[in-house]
Amino acid sequence: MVFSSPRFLVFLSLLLLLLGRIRGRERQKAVLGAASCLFYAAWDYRYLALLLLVSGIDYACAAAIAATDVRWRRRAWLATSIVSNLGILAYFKYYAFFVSNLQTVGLDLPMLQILLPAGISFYTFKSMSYTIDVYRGALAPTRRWLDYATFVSFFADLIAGPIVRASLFLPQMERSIGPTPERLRVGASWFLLGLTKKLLIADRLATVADPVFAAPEIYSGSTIWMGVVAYTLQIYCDFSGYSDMAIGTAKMVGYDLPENFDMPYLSTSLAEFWRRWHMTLSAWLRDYLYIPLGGSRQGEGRTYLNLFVTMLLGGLWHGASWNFVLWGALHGCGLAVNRFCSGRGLRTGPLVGGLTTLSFVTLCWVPFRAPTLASARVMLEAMAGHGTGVARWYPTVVFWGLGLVVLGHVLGHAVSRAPRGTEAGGPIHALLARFDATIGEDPLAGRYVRLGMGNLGGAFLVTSWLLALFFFVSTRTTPFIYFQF
Amino acid sequence: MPSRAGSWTGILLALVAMELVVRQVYHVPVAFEPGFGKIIRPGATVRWWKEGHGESHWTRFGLRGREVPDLTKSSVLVLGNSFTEALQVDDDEVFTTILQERLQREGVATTVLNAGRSGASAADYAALASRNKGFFRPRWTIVQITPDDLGALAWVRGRNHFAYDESGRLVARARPVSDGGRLHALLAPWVNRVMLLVYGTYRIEEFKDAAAAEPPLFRAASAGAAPATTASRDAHPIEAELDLIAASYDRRVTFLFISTFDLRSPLVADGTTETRFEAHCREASLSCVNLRPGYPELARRGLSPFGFGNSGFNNGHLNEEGHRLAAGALSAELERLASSGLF
Repeated sequence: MVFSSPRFLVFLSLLLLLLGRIRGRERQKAVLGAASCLFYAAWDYRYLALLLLVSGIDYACAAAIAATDVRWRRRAWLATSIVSNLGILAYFKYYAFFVSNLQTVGLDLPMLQILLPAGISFYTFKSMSYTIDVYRGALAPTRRWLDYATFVSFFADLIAGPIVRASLFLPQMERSIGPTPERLRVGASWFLLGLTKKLLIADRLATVADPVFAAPEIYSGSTIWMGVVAYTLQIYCDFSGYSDMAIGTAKMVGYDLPENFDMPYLSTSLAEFWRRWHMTLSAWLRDYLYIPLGGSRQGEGRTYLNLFVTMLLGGLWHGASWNFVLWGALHGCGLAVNRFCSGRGLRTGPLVGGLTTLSFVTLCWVPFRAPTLASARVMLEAMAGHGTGVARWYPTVVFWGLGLVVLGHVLGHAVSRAPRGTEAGGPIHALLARFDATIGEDPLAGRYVRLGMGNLGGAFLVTSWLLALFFFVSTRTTPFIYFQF
Repeated sequence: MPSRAGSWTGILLALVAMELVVRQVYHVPVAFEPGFGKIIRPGATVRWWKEGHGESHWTRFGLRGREVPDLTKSSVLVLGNSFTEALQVDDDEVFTTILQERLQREGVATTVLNAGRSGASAADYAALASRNKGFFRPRWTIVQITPDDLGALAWVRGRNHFAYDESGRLVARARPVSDGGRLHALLAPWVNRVMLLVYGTYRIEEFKDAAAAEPPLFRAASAGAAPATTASRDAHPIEAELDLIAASYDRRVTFLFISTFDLRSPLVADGTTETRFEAHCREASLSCVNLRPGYPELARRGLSPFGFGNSGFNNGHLNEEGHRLAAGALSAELERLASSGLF
């Protein structure tokens, strides 16, 4: 049940209808928890038990940590939580990868056919942050397992993030949920934006990127460049579109989720890129891996090593493949070089920095998306001018996709720089007002545009937008790229 | 303060604007043909930019082309589905037009009549054979089929479909498609002029098809269910279906099989339908043309017979290359038949 499918729209509508009719916070939470379980079971009901097991272990460990002041006991419970989570993740996600690699060096280990549980990378990280925060004293443990299970299994961010921390989510569970006109309006605005990114741009661009990555040896360098550019736009629109839909869905239900993307391709350095791309994962890796490794406090060499290790593991988090390891290693090296240069005052202007960053990120998508390292090599060689295949040209789809992304970034940039508050005035506020749209400010999700149909312009814009989606999106249901992680 | 009148005006303007936009990419006036269902309105000009960039013209006989053919002269009737209708390409790029040019170059004075209908199945060709033969009086008939045409679609009740009679013989049952009654007849001419409604109906069908192709809910495996069409397609008596169609047109038929294309293994048949088709053509001495022998040349050039810049490589309907390939294969077959005195 992907967010962009009609099935999900039916599911969400029924849930909102139900939440709107039920009185009492506890009942609403129970309904939400049950709906989240149903949502997860829709993929594969067998792994619902695993999800509940993870939440049960971390809930119990956090309670045990909070119940004692004895340091070694607290550490033991924390270790239990981390080992359990990483053990489950290692078994379900990395077992086949490790075994196949060990088999190549002569170790005869049995290969098991293990299906990857949907969203396991996301919910184990989400759940681990809870016990670590409780251990650090940054968060008081919740007293109700139902609350905690609802947090871990919350359907909006369950499959592909944003990776919401318990410290952000659990306090929200004290408030009443359910749809209100304002929540529906704001949530629908987010959802519509995400749906557009996914269906109108990402899925269309996939028709260009997919064949190029599937058989790169038959294409010329220029065609492969086209495919890689298409994928660069596709993965951004796909993943940020999913995040927008998740934020919108959560808002309609009554919860706030954190921002996950902030126009990352406009970054002027790689460090900035990682502050703007998959922000919740970057922050997680920083707070729970990079800083515990020593961060930048233990000398220059160790800082570079910590950056490299963090990104290497971040790459591996994406999937059990050497491609992701290479991708993580490249970004780790890139961040180390970035730090080396900035530490010595070697700075470029925003244009050169932006182009360098975008080029590096684009090239790194090649091993990330290529099915094997060998095909990644074929692609990179062709892109460097050593291709032997045939040139094909995909102008319509790529230009449309690029045009829409550029337009979105221009508007997004204007919105992000607009004065605070509608009363502040300014051309962007005036322009938006003509379309019954206002700039909203969310403490977690940042700035957004709230759409409305209260005047001629607004009704025209929203109706046209919905009609454009209905008439021009791809009807093929394409899973979100990050679902596989 | 929200203005209700302003909102409604905005919605109305958006609908008008979208009607104009949709007309640029999709302008398909439709009509009702008794015995079949919705077809492109005879005499219409169609603009189809959702896949490829085709502009097509339709004669008053419901045949593709600008010129009304003289039905008293020798003709080759081409039956098929959307692959023959070929809205994705211009009139002069369709394989039927290219075939006519080639035949005329070779001195075969005949007109190729393109009677492609979107959504047609193998059962339609058999069920409507008498009417087609009576009206068009073709010298020869070409029946274009894709792997799916011989399968489930040809067995759907409520439309022309294959069935077994009491003696267990395969027959094509003609089931007149309802025209929807008086109200429909009254409204249809108006509704069919509004592309938002015509294309909207088409889109709803597309969404329904996409929803039907989604993996089942609450499955106990991450892999989607195996597509039902392959299994059901293989379970159908395609040999008997081919024989029935051939008999319906007095065996003066050439089957054009549009096989799937894989750039890496262009000569490998996809599924048992194609293998069974090829085998039966040989065993029953049917005139058959498969596009597959032409695929290696396309693969060598990195091309696919399917797909357009706005729809994706190797995806969807025949592109210009595919139509050229089909025309070439058919003209060779018809010349072979002519040399042996059959055509």
